[in-house]
Amino acid sequence: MNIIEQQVWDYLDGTCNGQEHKKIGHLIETDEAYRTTYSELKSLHLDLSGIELDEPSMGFTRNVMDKVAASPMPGSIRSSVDKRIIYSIAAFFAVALLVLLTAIFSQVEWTQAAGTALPEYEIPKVDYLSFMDDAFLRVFLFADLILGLYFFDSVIRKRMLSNSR
Amino acid sequence: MQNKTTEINLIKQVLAGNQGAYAELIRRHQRFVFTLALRFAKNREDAEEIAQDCFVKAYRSLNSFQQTAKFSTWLYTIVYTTSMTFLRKKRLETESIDSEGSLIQLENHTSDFRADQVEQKSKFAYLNMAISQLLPDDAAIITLFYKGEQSLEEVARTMGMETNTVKVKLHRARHRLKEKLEALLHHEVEELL
Repeated sequence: MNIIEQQVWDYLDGTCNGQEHKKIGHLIETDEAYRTTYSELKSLHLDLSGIELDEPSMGFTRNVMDKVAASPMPGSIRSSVDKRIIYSIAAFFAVALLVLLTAIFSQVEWTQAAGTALPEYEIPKVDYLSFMDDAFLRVFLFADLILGLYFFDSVIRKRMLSNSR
Repeated sequence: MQNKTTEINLIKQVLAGNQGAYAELIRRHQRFVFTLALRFAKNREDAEEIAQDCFVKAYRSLNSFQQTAKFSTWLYTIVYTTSMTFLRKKRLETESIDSEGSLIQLENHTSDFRADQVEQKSKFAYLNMAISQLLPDDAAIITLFYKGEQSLEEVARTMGMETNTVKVKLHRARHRLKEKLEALLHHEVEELL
């Protein structure tokens, strides 16, 4: 693309400053090359502005509204993948892992026998059942129930949507 | 301004739970969203699917729309990113018209075009055909600038680029469009002779 074309496009788009606009305007009036380019580009510029937009199918709005009806409300918890939820889940697993590792290391005998022989090592016994108290199980089962209902709801919604088509 | 105010009111209604208000927003923007999607997809079925997907995505995240900006700019950003994702998935042919493959495509388009009796000789039909031969990014910039009532700054925001980059891209896109238009018209003149 030559410099004349670029300047004329800037002139037509109105993206050049006042001084440049005046200068290019003057060149269009006096210079044949500028005048020819201006005439060509102005025609294309007007044609592009007048071009018609394409029309989607007749049932477009209805189809979108069907999908929207099956979607959660904007702003509801389900409608957005909230990063805080992701971070909370990650934090839960990180804490659980940390607690487990702490429990293991706290039971390790760190003193080493003298000499070159390898120290006797006894695998620590972790009482996992001590974590599984009644409250923990209830919370665990409740979380499972919520996830199960969420999954069931999405399956039903998808089925209803495919049936309505 | 009136249009903008009404649009914000419609968004508020949707956020308050009135889904019907969203249908009005769809009606207002569907033609442009569909046209923009068509610039990427190159066929109506895929473009319609992209456009529907965009409206559903926009609905789901409507609460994240900053009401200080134009709704159209926000919506077109969704259309642009969704269309780009579509292109990546489909790995559509995006070769220039100068390549052999594109010349074949051009001939096919010409014969399709010949079948269209109503707009056969219309300059807008030629223009549309030339736009469809452009690279998706070029076609999208031209569409956003001329039909989306978007300033260069807004186009840049929509496409996630610098304003100056968009300015240069727009110049180049129009230059390529002019070349393709000349090639199409030259081809047609040769056919007539």
